[in-house]
Amino acid sequence: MKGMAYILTILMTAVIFTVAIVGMLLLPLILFRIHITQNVEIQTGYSNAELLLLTSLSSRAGDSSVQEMVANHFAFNNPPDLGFFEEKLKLFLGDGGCYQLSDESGVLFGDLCTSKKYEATTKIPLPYSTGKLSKEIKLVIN
Amino acid sequence: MRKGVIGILIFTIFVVVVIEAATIQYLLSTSYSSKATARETNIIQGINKFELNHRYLEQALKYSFYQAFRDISQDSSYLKYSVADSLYCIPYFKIYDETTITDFNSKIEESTEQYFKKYTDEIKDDETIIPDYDVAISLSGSDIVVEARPDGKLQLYREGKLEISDDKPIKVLIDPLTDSCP
Repeated sequence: MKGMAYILTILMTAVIFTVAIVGMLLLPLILFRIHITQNVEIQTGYSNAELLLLTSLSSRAGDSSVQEMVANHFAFNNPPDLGFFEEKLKLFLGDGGCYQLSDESGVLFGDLCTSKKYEATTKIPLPYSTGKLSKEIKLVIN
Repeated sequence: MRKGVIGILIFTIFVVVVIEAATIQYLLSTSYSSKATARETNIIQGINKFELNHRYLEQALKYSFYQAFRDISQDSSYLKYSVADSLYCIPYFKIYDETTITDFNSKIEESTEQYFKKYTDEIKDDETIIPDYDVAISLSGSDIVVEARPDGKLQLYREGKLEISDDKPIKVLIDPLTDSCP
């Protein structure tokens, strides 16, 4: 009987020891994996925001490039409609997507994304006569 | 009895070693793929920035020409700039009665170059190298072609990580906008 108890104790100790070791080995692995997943997600999210900004600014609506339309929006009292730009964002982000284009002085269009968001910024040139050579615009998407 | 205990210990050690080996193998492979992702992201972001700079320079060249044209025309005309009518409602293109201007082309080129330099200075940063440009203006049919030829390479340089360069001239076609007057 005493021998049986001894064996059971040894077995229990071995099991606890094994579980503890396995746990110690797996925990960092799981944490590392979560960290990597988040990192990749953030990086691709930022790249997507940049790509979207690039493709939108490179597009043309009629005779004007979207970049020119945005610049004119800042430069003139009667700014061109930026609906074309918005349509491009909607197409990419789908129904559940959220977007907002802004500059340092305010929002051009879109809503503030409340949950996880990715942003990209770039400078666009402005007509010289506006007194400012460039303006930084920021696109936030989700 | 003792043999049994030793057996269990050996088995436990074996299990631990196997798991550790699998874990290390997995960590190494994940680490490799995360490095690859980081490299990819670095390249994509580099290309994005480079292309955005290109878009900026093209538009900036247009604006530089507009401003140069406006200045030269204004200086050379006996009409007051503010009262001159706009061509196609474009504020840059004014209609003057007097069109005889000495060295018109070289004056516009020189002035465009100066304005363009100011614009390029706006996007210079630690990793963006922008060369000086010589501006040349020519006619293609009824359109004006403005070309900025670099004296070096337009570069995006991240030490030890990325280098993108381009020494092509920037060429823009100045066509009157067709939007009607507001």
